[in-house]
Amino acid sequence: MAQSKAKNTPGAKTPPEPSGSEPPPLSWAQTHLLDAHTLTADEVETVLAEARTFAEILNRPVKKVPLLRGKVIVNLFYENSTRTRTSFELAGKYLSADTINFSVDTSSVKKGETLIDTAQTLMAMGIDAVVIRHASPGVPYQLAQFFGHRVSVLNAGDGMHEHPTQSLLDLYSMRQRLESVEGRKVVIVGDILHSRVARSNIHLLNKLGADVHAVGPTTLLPADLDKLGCTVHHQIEPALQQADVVMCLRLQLERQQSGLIPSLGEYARLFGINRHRLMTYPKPNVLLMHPGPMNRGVEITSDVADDPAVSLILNQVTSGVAIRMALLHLLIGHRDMVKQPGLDVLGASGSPNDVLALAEAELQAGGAL
Amino acid sequence: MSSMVLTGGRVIDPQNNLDAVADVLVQDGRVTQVGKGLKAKADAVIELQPHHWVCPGLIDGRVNFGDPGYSDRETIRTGAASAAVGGITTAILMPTTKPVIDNVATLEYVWATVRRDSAVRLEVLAAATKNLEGVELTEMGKLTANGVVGFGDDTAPIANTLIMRRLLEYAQMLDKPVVVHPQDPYFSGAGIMNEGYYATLLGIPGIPAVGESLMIARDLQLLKRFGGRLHVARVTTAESVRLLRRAKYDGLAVTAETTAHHLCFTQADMQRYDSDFKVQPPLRTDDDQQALIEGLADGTIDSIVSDHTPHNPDEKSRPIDQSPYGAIGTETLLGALMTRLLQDDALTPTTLIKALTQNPARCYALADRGHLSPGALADVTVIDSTAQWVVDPLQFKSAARNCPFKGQTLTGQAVLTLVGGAVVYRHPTLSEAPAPVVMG
Repeated sequence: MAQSKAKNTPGAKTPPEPSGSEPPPLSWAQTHLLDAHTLTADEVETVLAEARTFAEILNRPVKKVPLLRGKVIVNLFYENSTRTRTSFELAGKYLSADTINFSVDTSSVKKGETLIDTAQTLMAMGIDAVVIRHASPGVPYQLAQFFGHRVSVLNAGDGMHEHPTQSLLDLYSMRQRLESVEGRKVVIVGDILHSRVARSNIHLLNKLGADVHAVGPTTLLPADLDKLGCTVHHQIEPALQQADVVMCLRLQLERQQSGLIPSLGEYARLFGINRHRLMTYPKPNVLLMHPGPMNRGVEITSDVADDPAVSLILNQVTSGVAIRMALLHLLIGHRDMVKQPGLDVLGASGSPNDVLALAEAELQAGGAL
Repeated sequence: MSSMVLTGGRVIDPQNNLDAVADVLVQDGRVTQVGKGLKAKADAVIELQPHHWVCPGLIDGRVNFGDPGYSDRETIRTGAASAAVGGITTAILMPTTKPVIDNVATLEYVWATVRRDSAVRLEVLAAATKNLEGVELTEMGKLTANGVVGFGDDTAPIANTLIMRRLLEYAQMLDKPVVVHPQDPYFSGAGIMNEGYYATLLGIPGIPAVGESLMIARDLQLLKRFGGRLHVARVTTAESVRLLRRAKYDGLAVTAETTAHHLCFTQADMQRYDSDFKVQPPLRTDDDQQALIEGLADGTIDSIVSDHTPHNPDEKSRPIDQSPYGAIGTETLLGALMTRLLQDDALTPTTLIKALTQNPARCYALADRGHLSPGALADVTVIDSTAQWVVDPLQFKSAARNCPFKGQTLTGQAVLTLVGGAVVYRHPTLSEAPAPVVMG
């Protein structure tokens, strides 16, 4: 591994290009993860391959590896979140990074500090990555434009735009059960109009050759949705026919108040996923997903949500940590590696094997960090 | 100085059907003669080349100069200076100030500031309803007596059909146009950009195009039934152009304008989440843009405005859904339009100049401007039709920087701006001349 270290130029701010005759171990040249729309299929495969490696680490009694020791990751959440924030926090901690939750409620943001001022402050503190969630679409782009290559930005959900890490973990969960999503029929059900999860999933699944369908009330489907790359339905039964995967979306209570649907009860009647629908129309081994948090009895019934034979919902949560470890490692694991004291053992090529070998070495040295 | 001749340039005066190399003689603030061999008649001579177009001074039908109330964005002094650089000799101020220009006292303040600070002629569109609320009419008679050119609530649509009827009726008595912003307020809601593929892709709330044309359809029906004069501001959709074409065919007293940015950009330009492209109405599709150009070519759309809307950088750097609408445009108006519309012969130079001179003058009944007939005000813009320049907002005379054309290379630029025969702007490349009277 010593020779692989030499590939990294000291002080390089971006991951190095693979050089020499060795096959490139990774297809990753991004500083930020801003959307799923512009990820390449190769990049997606790289993230999933890394995530598989980290998933193994998560099964161990000692989960910590020192890959991001000395790195600082800030969770900058302008919207409430349980699983995404916790998942990012754990992912950073398992990688030995220092993760800080920047709480908007108690910070200067409350005093009127602008986004760019907050970003400037954080950068001055020498952080390596920002995980941003914001109610406004495009905020991760604004941050990335401000930071350039100095700080990595990970989009953890921006308005109705995208939630790329969710779509990556959804894909990862599907691939645990299905060999490949190519040619598989994936049906996304519900409020697509307001859903960043739906948008990211449509982009990603299309890249990998899935047959993507969307179904929901006409008032909750955005204009020109088909042009994003999916077949649009307004009736649940034909949409579910021969489905391999059914992905439910959360229905916000506010949608009724703003006149988009008459009532939650009617929505459940027309579009709710229940055992009857799930067992009648899709393929026999259909998989059920939900990004959470669920409105049980509205978009999904408990009998299927809690059935481990069909439901991937808890797998999604577990996958989330592995995916976020993979992304954090890909984005900031290779930066300034040589400058970090005490990490000489680390290969800078970042291949998944290096990661495992390193974890082995740590364990054998009894070095719980 | 009492007389000056512009010699050797290509004179484009659409109202007089003139497009030829000729001399323009101005005396005591008025145009006195256009023709050959006038050089000897003047005290001062400005030598030009045939690539210099000598046009009636440009009339920008829609600007916001921030005063009163928003001097952190722009002032009448900086706004007028930016207009002069852009070759604009008359600009029409919108009433969306703080306080709103909906009463004579505020109007008097604006006139006083204009007299003191403005390098160019500024006219005022007064609010049609008090505080732009769409409920009570302003004192339109008093405002007319104090020199406003028309009435309109700028970006606030007149939602109430009955109020719209009253406006048309009352303004008709005063022989002033009612200027409407055609956007259904319920439809636009929280919308930010044109509803469609890009809004869906970008997760940005959409404003459907039909929200514009259905308001135009309503107002045309009212116009047909109750009379008056209607000017439709900022037309942006293909369907709106179709409705207006039909209305003009039917002989209704309607005029219409579009903006430079709607002719140069589309919804796809929102992809960078750059709020300098967040304008009202939103940028539309390629098809809409093509329809606007066709509308200009066949006279359905009369005029093109800059819709100069300054904001300070703090406001514009907010997230896309929290930043204010609007872009500045006085200094890029001419270059942007010449680059976009003339290079691929979408419009002839005469049609373009007409939309920037003769037509806006007619919309607002400014009979002494927009042409170079003897006796007209000596407001003249000389354009270097070959000048290439890169848009750098930091060099602008405008105090604001929210310019979507930033970084673009444009072809065509004002090099000399005369207001009442006085030089208010002169580009350094245009040498030797009488001592310029630089204002602003």
